[in-house]
Amino acid sequence: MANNNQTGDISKKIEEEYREFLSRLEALRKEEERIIEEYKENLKHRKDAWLKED
Amino acid sequence: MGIEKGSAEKISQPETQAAVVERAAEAVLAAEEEAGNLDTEAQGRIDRMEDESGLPLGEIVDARRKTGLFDKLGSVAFRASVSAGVLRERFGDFLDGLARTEEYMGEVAPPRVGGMIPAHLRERIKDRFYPELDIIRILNAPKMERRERLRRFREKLAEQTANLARMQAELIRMLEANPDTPLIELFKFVEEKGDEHNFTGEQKMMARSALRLCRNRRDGIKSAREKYPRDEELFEAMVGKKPKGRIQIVERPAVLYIRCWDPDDYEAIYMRHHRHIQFSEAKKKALREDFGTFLYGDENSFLPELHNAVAAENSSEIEAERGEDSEKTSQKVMAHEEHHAIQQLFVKMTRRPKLYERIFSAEGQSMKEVAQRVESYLRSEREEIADNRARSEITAYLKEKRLSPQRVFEVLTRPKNEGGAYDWLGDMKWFFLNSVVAKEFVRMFGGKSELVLGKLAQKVYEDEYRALIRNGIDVFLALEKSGFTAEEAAAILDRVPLRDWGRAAKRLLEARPREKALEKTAGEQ
Repeated sequence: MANNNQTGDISKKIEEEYREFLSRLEALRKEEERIIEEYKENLKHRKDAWLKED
Repeated sequence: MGIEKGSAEKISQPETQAAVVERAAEAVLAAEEEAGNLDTEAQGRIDRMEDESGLPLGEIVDARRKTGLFDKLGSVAFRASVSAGVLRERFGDFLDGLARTEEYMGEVAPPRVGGMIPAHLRERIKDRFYPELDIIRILNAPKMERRERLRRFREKLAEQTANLARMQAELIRMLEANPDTPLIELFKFVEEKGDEHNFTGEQKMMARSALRLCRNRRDGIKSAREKYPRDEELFEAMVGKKPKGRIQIVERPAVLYIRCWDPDDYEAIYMRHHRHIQFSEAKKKALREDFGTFLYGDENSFLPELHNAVAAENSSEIEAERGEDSEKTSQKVMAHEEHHAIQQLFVKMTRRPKLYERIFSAEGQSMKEVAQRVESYLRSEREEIADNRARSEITAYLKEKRLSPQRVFEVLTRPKNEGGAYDWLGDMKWFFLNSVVAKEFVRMFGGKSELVLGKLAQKVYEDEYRALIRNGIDVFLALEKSGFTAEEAAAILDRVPLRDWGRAAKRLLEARPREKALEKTAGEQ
C-alpha cells in the first residue's frame, strides 16, 4: 500500500502540473485577447470608413 | 472494543489516497472544461461584436479573412485542448503508478482507483472513451489480451464515430432549417451532445472549428450574393467572363451550386479554379463527360470569400445522359457535391485516433519506420498550428515594407524566451515530448529513443520551419523581382499553403505570358 510520502509526492506533482496547465492556459487567454482586440480594431476602422462613405 | 494497531492506518490511508485521486480527477475535468470554455466564450464575444458593429455582412466576412480570425482562434483552441490532453496523460501516469504500488505491497485490498472518484465526477467520466489513449493501452497489454481488446476498441470506435456522425447530421439539419443559427447556439448543442455521448474535449473542439468554417462559408456565400444578385453577374465575378449559355446558381447552406447548360461554361469554372494547371486534351474531354464537381483547394476564385464554397454542374451532360430523369439526377449530384463540401469540414473529428492507430499498430516494425510516421504526424501538426499563420505574417510584413526581409525572418523565428511574438511552435515541442505518441515511442524503443524524438522535433519544428520561412520570403521577393507588385505577390501567396509557395510561384512564372494574354482578352470583353 502506498504510504503518506508517496501519496504526498503524487499530490504535489498533481498540483505542480495543474499550475503549469493554468499558466499555459493564461498565456493562451492573453493571446486570444490580442486576436479579439485586433479584430475589434479592424471592425472599428471599417465602420468609420463605411460611415464616411455614407 | 479496542482498535488493533494498524487499523487506524488502514482506515485513514485510503481516505488520503481518495483525496489525491479526487483532486486529480477534478483537475482533469476542470482542464477540459476550461479549455473548451476559452473557445466558447471567445465566440460569444465575437458574435456580439459583429452584431453591434452594424456593418454589412460583406465587410464582416472580409474582416475575418484579413485578420485571419478563425484560423487564429482555431489555433488557440487546438493548443488549449492539447494542453488539457497532456495533463490528463500525466495524471493517468501518477494514478497508474499509485495503483501499481498498492498491488505490489498487497497489505490491504485497496479501493480501485476508479471506485475512489466521487460519484458526480465518476458519472461524467465513467464511459468516456479516448480512442487515442485506448489504442496505446491496448498495444501495451499482454499479447494474448490484445486481440480481444482491439475488437472491443473497434466496436467503441465505431460507436463513437457513429455518434459523431449523428451529431454532424443533426447540426446540418439545424443549419438547413436556419442557416443563420448563431454559432454560440450550435456550440451549446455540441456541448450537450458531448455530455450525452462522452465526446472528448478535442472532438468537441474539432466540431466547433468545423462549425466556424461552415459559418464563414455560409457568410461568404451570402456576401457574394448580396454583391452580385443576378446569376450572370456572379458567374462573371467568379470566372472572369460572362457565361456563354444558360446558367442557374442555387444557394445552399454550405455551397453555391452552379448549373451550367453550356459545357464551355462548366469547363470555364473548372479551369478558372485550377488555372495554374496545364490540362491535357484527354482531361478536357473527360471533363465534358462529368456530371459535377466540388471546387476544393487553392483559393483561385476572383472572389476569395467563396473559398471551398463552390460546386458546379455540367447540366447538358446530365440531360443528354438521363433524359426525363435529369431533374432527379441533378438533385442527387447537388446533394453529392454538397456532401463533399460538408465532409471536408468535419473530417478532422475522427482523423486523430486513426492516425495514432496507424503509427503504432503494425507489428515488428523498426524504429526507423515508426520514426518516419511520427515525423509526418509532426509535420501535419505543424502545418495546422503554425504554417498558415506564418504565411499570413510573411505577406503582411513584406507588403508593408517596414522591415528588411532579413529582419522579417528574424522577427518570425525569434524564440518566445527571447521575446519572440510568433513562436507558436515553442509550446508544441513541449506538448509533443509529453504526448502519448512520444511516450509510446520510448516504451517501444527504449530510453535512448528519446534522443531520436528530440531530433525529430528539432528537425520539423525548428530547422524545417525556419527553412520554410526563409524560402517563403525568397519566393515573395522573386515574384516582386519578376514584375508583380507587393500587393499582387501577397494576394497570390495568401491563397497557397506555405509549403507549396515555391511550386506555385514556378508555375505562375512559367504561365505568365499566357496569363497576361488572358487578362488582356478579359479586359477587352
